[in-house]
Amino acid sequence: MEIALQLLINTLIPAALFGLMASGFSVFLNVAKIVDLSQGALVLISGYSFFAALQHGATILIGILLSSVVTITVALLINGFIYERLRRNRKLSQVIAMIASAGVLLLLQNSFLAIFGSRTKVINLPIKNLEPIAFGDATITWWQIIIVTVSALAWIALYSFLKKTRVGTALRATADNAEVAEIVGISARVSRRNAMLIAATVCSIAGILASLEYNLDPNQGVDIAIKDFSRAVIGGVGSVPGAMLGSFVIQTAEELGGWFWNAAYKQVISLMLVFIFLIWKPTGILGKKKI
Amino acid sequence: MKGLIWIIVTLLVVGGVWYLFMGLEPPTSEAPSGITPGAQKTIPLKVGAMLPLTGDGAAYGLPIQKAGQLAVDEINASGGIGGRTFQVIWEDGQCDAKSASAATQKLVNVDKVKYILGGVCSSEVLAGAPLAESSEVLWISPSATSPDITNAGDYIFRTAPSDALAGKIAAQYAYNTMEAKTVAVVSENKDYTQGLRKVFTEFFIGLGGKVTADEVYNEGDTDFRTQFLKVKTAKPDVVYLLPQTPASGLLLVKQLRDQKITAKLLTAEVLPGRDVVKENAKLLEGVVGIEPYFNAETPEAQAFVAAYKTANNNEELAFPSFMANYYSQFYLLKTAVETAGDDSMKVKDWLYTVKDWKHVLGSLTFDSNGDPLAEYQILELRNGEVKPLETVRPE
Repeated sequence: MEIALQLLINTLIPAALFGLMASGFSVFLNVAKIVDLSQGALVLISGYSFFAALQHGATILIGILLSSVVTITVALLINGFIYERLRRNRKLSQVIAMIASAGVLLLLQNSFLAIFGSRTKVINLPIKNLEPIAFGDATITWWQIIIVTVSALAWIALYSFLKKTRVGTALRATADNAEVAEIVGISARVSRRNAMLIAATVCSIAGILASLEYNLDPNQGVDIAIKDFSRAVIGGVGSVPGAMLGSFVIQTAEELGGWFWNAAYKQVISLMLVFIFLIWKPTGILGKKKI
Repeated sequence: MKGLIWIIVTLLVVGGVWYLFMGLEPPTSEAPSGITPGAQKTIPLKVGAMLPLTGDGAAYGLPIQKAGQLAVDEINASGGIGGRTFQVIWEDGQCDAKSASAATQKLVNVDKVKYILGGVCSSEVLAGAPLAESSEVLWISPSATSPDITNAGDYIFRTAPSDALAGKIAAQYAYNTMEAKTVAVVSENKDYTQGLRKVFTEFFIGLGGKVTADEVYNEGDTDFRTQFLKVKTAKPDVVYLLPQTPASGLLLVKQLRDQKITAKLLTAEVLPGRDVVKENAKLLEGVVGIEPYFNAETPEAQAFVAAYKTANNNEELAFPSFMANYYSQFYLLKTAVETAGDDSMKVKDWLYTVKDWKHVLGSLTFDSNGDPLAEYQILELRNGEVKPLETVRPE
């Protein structure tokens, strides 16, 4: 029983955190039709800026603000200078855009290495470390509870924003059919920028949470990008609930596979799932159409 | 306006690339002029140097590189190798077999070096060794410890001892001193850590202990909770942690502590990196590590440490033993070339005759496989510092 509970906790933490990231990834993918791998690095930008701000004596709140400003600025620059430029004069090639995003990812990762060095950065918040809570043998730390709660709240906010607000509706219209949306006066360009803005906000929230749980290391970006992609694909391309659902499906498969089979094969399990979906159900669990 | 933005972007990119290269590749030193006459003598001696300069392995690649650069600068400034200077070609092996093979190809076939110093990770040495051996390129590694390197070839030497010894000492220490009857082993899926894992489990079972959990994780993994859940249900006396780099090592300890696993922790030489311990004092409190012994009290060692600190803004030595090894290797190569001539085969033969060669690394003797005879030190991490517990000489 306690093992089942611990397995549930172990699933919940990464599923919520990476599900949030995948949801932001999914929004931009759906609106701009770009598999934006550079979001793996955006998450790290947020974490590293948070770390740097705290190092220079900023309070936690200022650190959070500063890191979101930096993350959003970089994201908008990437969107404006690279993705929008690729669209100029011709129809966007998804492959080229994806290669460009991979390039940005590697460039950013190496910039972290150059600026912050290769050493793992551990964020020690100026808050007393609370003991993990134990239910029998199963444990969860306070930080992990915060991570799950904040991820859930941010995700609900994202979902209602897309459903309830005018900007959200415009985004969905562009995602459905950019040309028709243009005809009724919704600028696809503005929608894409807004989508990037949303994705970057998600990255900055998730980045801080991830840095507290998984430390900071320049090479994590690629791993996060793969996680974003696989979770969004399985859940249903372009669907925000799908991305969260996909994250839970993958994480459950990984944890159960790890427990009953071999924990070293976790990544194999999740990538095999991606293959299965790409071959037999390329739209994912909740997706309606192909990208 | 647009043109201006382009110029700025181009400048930034060029500047960034330049900055990266400056950071990674120390400029090869110019030959000091006027020290020795004669045209032939002033041709620099090319040496290939492969280390993990990017990626997680850079955590030890970069400090070890600085130690090597210090030796090169000193040798070049004081007359070189019989008048010739060292010209070092730095290559990034990324602690990874694929990059290391490519780097070795380049060093051997393009740069035509006769000597390679480096190969920090076992994966790098094992990947490059076949080509080096067949091309008669002499290779000395400062820190690759996989038991497989023992038989990697005649031209392959190392100044760090084989984990065939380290794993045995760890098993003995866990069983006899820590009084562990059961252990759990959690290891990264790399040449170095798997070699150590194999030797350790063999000896520990041989001593009469039981390995109740044996979990492996892959490079780049960040979530080890499933592994630790298995470890926790196995209730071992000691957990033996084998990360390849501090990056995953720190995450291991954090997640292990989060799950309230109270078993004592034993590890190898990665986590006791001095900077790692200092920055993560609380997390690593009480962890026991085992690393090759380096006597920092000898006058030579103290001079080296002082020189290193002066050259690198007072930076502490992160991996003293490996850094001393690398520093000494350049002097070893200098002596070898001066004695045996600039010929990799003769240098190789000379190295096998080396007996009690005294330098910063201590006293060096190679066995018939090109492995050094060495001692180990058992350390405990306390209050952000490394406390030596005992020194062990393997029989």
